[in-house]
Amino acid sequence: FSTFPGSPKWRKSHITYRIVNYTPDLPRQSVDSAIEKALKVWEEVTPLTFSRISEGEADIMISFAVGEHGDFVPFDGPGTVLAHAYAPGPGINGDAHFDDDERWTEDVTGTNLFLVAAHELGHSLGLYHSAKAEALMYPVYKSSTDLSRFHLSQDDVDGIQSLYGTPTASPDVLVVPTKSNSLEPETSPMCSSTLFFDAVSTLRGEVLFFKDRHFWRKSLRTPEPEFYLISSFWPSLPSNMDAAYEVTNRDTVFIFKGNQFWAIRGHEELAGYPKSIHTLGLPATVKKIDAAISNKEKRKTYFFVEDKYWRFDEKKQSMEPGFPRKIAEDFPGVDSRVDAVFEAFGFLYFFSGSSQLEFDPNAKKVTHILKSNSWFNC
Amino acid sequence: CSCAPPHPQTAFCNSDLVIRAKFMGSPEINETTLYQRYKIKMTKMLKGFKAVGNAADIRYAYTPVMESLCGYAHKSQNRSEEFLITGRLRNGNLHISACSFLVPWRTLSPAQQRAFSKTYSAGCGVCTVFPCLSIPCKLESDTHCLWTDQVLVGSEDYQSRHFACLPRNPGLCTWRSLGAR
Repeated sequence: FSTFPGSPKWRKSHITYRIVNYTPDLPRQSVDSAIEKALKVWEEVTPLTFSRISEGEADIMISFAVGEHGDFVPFDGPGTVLAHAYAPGPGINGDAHFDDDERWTEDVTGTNLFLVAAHELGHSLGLYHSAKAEALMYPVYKSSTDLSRFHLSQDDVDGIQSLYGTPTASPDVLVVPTKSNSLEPETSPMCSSTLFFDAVSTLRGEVLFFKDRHFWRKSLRTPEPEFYLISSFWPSLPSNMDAAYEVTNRDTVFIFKGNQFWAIRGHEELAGYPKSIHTLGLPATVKKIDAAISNKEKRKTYFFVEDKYWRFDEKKQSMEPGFPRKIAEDFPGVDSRVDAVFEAFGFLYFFSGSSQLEFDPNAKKVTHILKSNSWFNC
Repeated sequence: CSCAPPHPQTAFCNSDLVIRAKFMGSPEINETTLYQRYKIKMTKMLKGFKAVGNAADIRYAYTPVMESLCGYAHKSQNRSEEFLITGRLRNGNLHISACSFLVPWRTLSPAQQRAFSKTYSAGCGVCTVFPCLSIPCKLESDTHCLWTDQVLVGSEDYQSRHFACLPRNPGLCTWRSLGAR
């Protein structure tokens, strides 16, 4: 099995769904019962429960549509793509769409709605595709399935239980505060007023905030930051890193710890690393760097070390002469030691302990002072 | 994302573009549209001359980022391996999905390679590969060929690999062996 990048899941055990419209291929009650049965498949092996609502916004909105249907992913007429669904989350997330150019059936003479719905709702709950042909989460529809003997494969069960655990033993458990409540976003360390970061970097338009063995990932598509183990994305990267920066035109993020650095491209860890930071031209007296940032337009990378900084020319791939210089002289207002730095909307954001300085590089001044976790909607 | 298993001839006929190409690396992600594009190097166009012109150079293949939205995830790192890509044309761009018929060119038999280059096109618009989804199933038209790979256990995609549904007489289509041509 596999889960979505970052393993998004519902942070509650009771989930609502709504059947927004119906296919003309089947009586309404057949659609209702196919969906109900498909949800039951997952309900049986998890602590999750589902209830149907008939108006308003449900967690999982189920609809039938043809061609272009209001998301960026149009359907393709009969055959090929039968349905698609979104990962758990607000808005369109969690929703499942069925291509109404298929002929939906209760049996397997056409495209069986229950089988496809059970697969799509697996996505709505957080499962990605499985590589195992016997799994429900295998992407290819199997018309030869014997419906009377349908069951999840062990791979599907392992997948969904990796997200939600096994069914709750007794309904009493629901009335006492459960352990999972303490992991709700409100109380997680990301909203602690003393939170500070090891390193911050952009990555393909997202921002990664590194802290110990973990990182938060903030992207446009997720209002909430997502929290992961660094090793779940890049097994060879160190924890407690010192600095990280992205060179966008090389699509590479460089990660620093001690006198070594690593390079990653998306999920991929580039070969030939770690290298010594001294191969960049930093003097032997520098044992580690505190923070780094690369400027896309000027093609220069800045390395911050204590109260000084060095500048590296990405075009020539060499350290520039005339450095180090004092940080406080060229970045007036940034006068405490820097933990991390990244760029967004033309500003530089310097992190120092639990505070954050927004620096306007054109005006050469600090324009805002924020909490370090200001990006997390706390 | 759920995909109907395709007969290669259906995949060929239902696609706007069929090309041979190499994948040139990891995809670029557009965070706004949640699409990614793979840089590709087209080596040959097999279908789509009318749609994009003979000289057109298809440089990217677009697909949703998310697998659950039928985004195609390219697994091979080998930039010199040639793939057969079937896809749709949208706004002048090649779109592919997890459900596209997309395989390494070398995994196709010589007869299938010939079919993609030549034979299948003779059936497009005239003949229909009609999937038999459950037993019993019956032929609904003389221009249909019943495709039974999905219901016959152990068929190992025999019809997919060795046959094309082609016109025999006006108004009649039948399975023709690719090897015999």
